[in-house]
Amino acid sequence: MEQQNEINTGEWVDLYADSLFNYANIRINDADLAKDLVQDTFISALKAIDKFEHKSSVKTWLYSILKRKIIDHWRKQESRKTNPMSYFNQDGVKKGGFLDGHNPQGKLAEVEVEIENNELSDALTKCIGALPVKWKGIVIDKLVEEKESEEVCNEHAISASNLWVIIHRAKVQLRDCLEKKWFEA
Amino acid sequence: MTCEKITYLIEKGYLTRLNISVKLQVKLHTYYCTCCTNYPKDSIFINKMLAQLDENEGTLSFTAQEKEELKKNLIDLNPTN
Repeated sequence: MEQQNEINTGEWVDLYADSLFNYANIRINDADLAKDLVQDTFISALKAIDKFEHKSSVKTWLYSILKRKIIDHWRKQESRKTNPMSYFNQDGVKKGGFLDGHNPQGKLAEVEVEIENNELSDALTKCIGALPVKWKGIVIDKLVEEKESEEVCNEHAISASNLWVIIHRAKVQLRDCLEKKWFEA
Repeated sequence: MTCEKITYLIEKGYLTRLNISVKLQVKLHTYYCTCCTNYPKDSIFINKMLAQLDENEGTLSFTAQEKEELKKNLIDLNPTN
């Protein structure tokens, strides 16, 4: 009989390694690094095994460890921040209008999407990867994980109007990036 | 109102309720502006794709060999073995 507190790490790998890998890659857009983080997650989990209280499932617990590692990675990246570009004219008569070459053409919405269009998902993952670090966690929490706005604002210590501004700027960038990747690649 | 402001209001409208006069301003602008007519189509499409990202059961996987190595490393570390 297996003891209750015996840990089957082989089973962890079989059951969760690939889904953790995908989860990490969507958030950091670097497959090799994603693999490393998954391995680190298992190791951290083993080291902290006495703290695991079986209140949540092993799966939930592993995801929470991985998520902390992803956030740490984003924080490290933050020192390399660049100012995001604007996709709108900053002055002149066209002030506030879309910059030439960045006009929404409505072509994306016409792409035939099967539920699993992997190429398109990959392109979107790359575009998320190009977002300023500060926006990335917010976009993922709000639009990928679809958390309540209030929860996102609390977690990131921002106001509701900060959230609207960031989501707007991030979406404009994602739209432009995805259109370019999809139609000009 | 400019496209920058209108697209902001369009995005805000997906997150919270806009009041009626703001909705009207957005509507009026989109009557004559192709960019802002197209924008929400793409934007909704992207929101749908984003919400599906985690649900796509994995485009990536470890190779069988990598999994074996991973298992081996973990066995060595496992305090309950």
